[in-house]
Amino acid sequence: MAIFSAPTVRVMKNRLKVLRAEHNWSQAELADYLGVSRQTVNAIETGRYDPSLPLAFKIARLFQLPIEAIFQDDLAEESEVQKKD
Amino acid sequence: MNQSVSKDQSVTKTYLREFLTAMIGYAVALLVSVFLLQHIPSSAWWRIPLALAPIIPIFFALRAFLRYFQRIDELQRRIQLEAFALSFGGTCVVTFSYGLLEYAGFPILNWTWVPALMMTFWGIGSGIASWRYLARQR
Repeated sequence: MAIFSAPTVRVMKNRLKVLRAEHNWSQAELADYLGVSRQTVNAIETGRYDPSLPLAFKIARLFQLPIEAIFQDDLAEESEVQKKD
Repeated sequence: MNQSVSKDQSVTKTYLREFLTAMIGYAVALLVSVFLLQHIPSSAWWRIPLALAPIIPIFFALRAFLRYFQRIDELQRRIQLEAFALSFGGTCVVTFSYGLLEYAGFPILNWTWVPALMMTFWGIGSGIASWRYLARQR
């Protein structure tokens, strides 16, 4: 049963942890800037939760980067590999 | 102390304060209601409003939860939603199964067991969903 299964299948990868480290922010500080809980930042960083589109835009604006520079799904990665081939 | 942590804590604190106040009111109203119902004549017209009196603080508890639900962030809402899904499904299965067992001679239970069952499943669901999203990396 899905509800009892292991944590969410990882469909998105993100660079949030790296970007946060570059800015020297704690999870709590980033959570404060985004208006969410520290647990939510932690869940996004560990790939357990994919943020909503509004929150993803908020994150992108905060780091002044396009969304796709922060979040990447497995399909995007596959298509990159195919392009290289 | 970071503002986000303190904001989170204050949302939870406000919820707990409002919810616990309502539940204390419920416990008092229930005791008074049950006591008076045993000591008033069965023909008294106000037996029905008296029996329903404990519902008033329950509305305050519901209000506290709805306010909490509006204040939490999107992940916390998702956790609550998954907990509700488990609570709804679990309660349906258990109550329906027991209803069938009553046809087989099991004792007839009071309907007040239903919300208790819902709360139990909600608690279990919250625990499972929180673990799925918030536990440290495996």
